[in-house]
Amino acid sequence: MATTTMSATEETLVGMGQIAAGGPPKKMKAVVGSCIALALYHPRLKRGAMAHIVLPVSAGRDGTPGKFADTAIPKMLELLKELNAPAPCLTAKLAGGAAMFGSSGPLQIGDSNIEAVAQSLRAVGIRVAGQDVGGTRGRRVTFECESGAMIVESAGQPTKTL
Amino acid sequence: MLTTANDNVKTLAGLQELFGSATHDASAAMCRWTDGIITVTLDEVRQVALEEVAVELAIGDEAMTMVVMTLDGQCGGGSIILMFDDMNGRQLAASLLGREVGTDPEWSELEKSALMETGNILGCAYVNALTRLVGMDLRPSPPYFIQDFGASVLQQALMTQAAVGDDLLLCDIAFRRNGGKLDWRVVFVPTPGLQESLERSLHAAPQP
Amino acid sequence: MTRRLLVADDAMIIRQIIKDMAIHAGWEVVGEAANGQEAIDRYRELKPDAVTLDLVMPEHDGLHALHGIMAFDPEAKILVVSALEQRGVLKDAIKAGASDFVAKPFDKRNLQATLEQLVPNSST
Repeated sequence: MATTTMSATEETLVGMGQIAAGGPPKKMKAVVGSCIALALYHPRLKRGAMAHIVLPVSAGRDGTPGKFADTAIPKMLELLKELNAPAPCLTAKLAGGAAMFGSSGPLQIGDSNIEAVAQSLRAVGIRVAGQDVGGTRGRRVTFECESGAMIVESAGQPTKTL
Repeated sequence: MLTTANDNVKTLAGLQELFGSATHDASAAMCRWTDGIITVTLDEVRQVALEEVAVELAIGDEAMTMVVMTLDGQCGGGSIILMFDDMNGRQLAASLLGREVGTDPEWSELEKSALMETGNILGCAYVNALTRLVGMDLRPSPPYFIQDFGASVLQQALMTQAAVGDDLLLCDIAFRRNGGKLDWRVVFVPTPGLQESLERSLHAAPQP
Repeated sequence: MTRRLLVADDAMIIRQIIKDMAIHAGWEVVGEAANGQEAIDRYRELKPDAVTLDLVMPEHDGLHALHGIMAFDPEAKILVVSALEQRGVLKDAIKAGASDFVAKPFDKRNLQATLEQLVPNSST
């Protein structure tokens, strides 16, 4: 069974349902479509965690914690606590939640993912400091623990820094 | 659904045989469509952990050119994704159109159409074969043309499977030219409903 | 008299292949359609001698077109040209009024011969 959480090495690819956590000079990367790359970050301590969230709610289903919005955030808080980064100063950045096959296409889940992440963040009182969500394009997301920047690249679009 | 490791191996072997037979038909259609140049073979029916999908399939984080079709039926459905890097996609389109490879960075409507019809012919060949082999009614969607990150497209196609489990069933299919493997691929992702129906048909009938 | 053909397929490449084949065989291609509703509209407007019709098309599919065209002209000659080759679907198409069926990918000579059978060339 593959690990579902990990300490981020220099540059860590965060696969579907995984969570990575660490500090500088670590970078965490994910390629998302309808999924969401969510980063929680402590700006003063420069500690961060990134989850690659696949679905909105676990609803009691088995699965790795990073897979669902409602289970990923508590797990990220736990990992950050282990890195001595307490919840009160954390901010969030997120990218993803696209409808890859167009807004009328099949298998739509992006909007539900965006809403579920927003709701779960509200529930724990974490402010969203930046987001690039929705649309119909995939995103290549890199989160830098040094600066707290989330760099979002979309095919054929200018790169955004959140 | 899969239960023990032994059942699991047997089921995968059965599915491998079933999809191998369907791939045989798909290959014949592809061969006719490309004037005998291109065939397809089934590399593997495999179960992959959710978090390892992109790594296991060696789908990097580069933009790709893809054609996606969804299949729908009473017993479930699935998605078929044809994946090319830009140059390989344009070479296939050019050979189908009997023209030089296009140099304009934007794909022409005719080039897109050539690739989409390749998806349609391949997808319909699988639908026809699966319908015949296991007696289920499947209908394909028209093909979509997408230029984006391969992993982004694949993950949306995996959603229905991800909703019920952490291990995903994928059929990895390779294109070949004169027997040599090309750097293009097709991924067939059945929904859990179709997967169950196929598994039931394996137990209910002699192997194809 | 030149026979007039309407080509309905969402794939531009297939419309192009069928047009080239038909023109070479002496047909006049009077119109094209990329979905089922367009096929009905073009048929009503152009009243061709024959139609080649794909089944899997966006928005309105080929079966929709078959019903619409046959309701307008019960004598319409419609050749279904589709990669979908399921018994149930073909039965539905024939029941809806399709004259014949050619599977994609097709041999151009076979498609031409089937069209000739459907609307023989009266000048030869």
